[in-house]
Amino acid sequence: MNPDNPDAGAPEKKQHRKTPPATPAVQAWLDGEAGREGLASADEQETAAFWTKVNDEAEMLRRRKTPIHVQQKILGALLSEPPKAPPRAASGSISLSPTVAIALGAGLVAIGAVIGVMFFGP
Amino acid sequence: MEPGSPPVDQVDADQEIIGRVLAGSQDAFGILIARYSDPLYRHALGMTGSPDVAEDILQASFIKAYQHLSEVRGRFDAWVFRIVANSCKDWLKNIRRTHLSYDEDDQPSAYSTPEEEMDRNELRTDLENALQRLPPSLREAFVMKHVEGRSYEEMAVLLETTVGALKMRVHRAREALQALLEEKYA
Repeated sequence: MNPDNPDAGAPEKKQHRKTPPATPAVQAWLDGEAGREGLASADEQETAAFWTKVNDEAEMLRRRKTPIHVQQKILGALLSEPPKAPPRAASGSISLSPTVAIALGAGLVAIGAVIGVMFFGP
Repeated sequence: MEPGSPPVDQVDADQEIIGRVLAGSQDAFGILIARYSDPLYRHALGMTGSPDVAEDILQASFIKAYQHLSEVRGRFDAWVFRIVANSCKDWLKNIRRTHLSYDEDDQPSAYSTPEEEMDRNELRTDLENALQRLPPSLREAFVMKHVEGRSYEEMAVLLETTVGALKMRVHRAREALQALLEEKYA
């Protein structure tokens, strides 16, 4: 054993090397804006490999479905919760569709014409 | 078509269903629940990390949507998403850390090498746990992009913000998540 270096001669410990941070090129690849072939350095490839694993797991989470009993529970709860009626027009105001308005206008013109003929002659 | 929009047919179909519900057909609302509950449940689950809480939020959100259905303007899916997303944020504001599902006792026991720890199931657990440690706005952006698989354009519509702002949030979330996931292997 070397007194200056107690680790010398000891079995080599496996060191975990931290994954390099995602460069803009890796971020662009993760955003789907660039291909993986654009990742030139070994560090970028290592980061891409890390994120490939994470994305695989995220995709598994994406497959989760709402438990069937939840949908049934919601529908059951609705029985006692009637929807609120649509807001009504302010009291005193009248709302008309364009067709009804045109028909009413034409009717008024016709009545006016009849009255005019009655009082002022043809 | 607006980026990230559902097909026009589906938007029209949603409007038709809403009309039926407002006319008194309660069962028709079940079609909307069946159509949108999965992505909304995944969002609530990703945000809260708790299936029970996600179920409660989903139920309360759909009931609220049902009660206020006459107020829907525009896309129903975007409207109901915002109800769920806001409920998740409210829950996160109120919850104390001790109530979170993340628990040191849930962590896998010690492994002899980091490589062994990189087992798929463990990575999934680690990912879920790490997500719970992100600030809500970063978590929301990451969950929508990577777990829900939405485009930035759709996220921008749903969250009523810009694509640039969302990209920034997702990038920051990735940096934070990578650091958190690396923490235990360092």
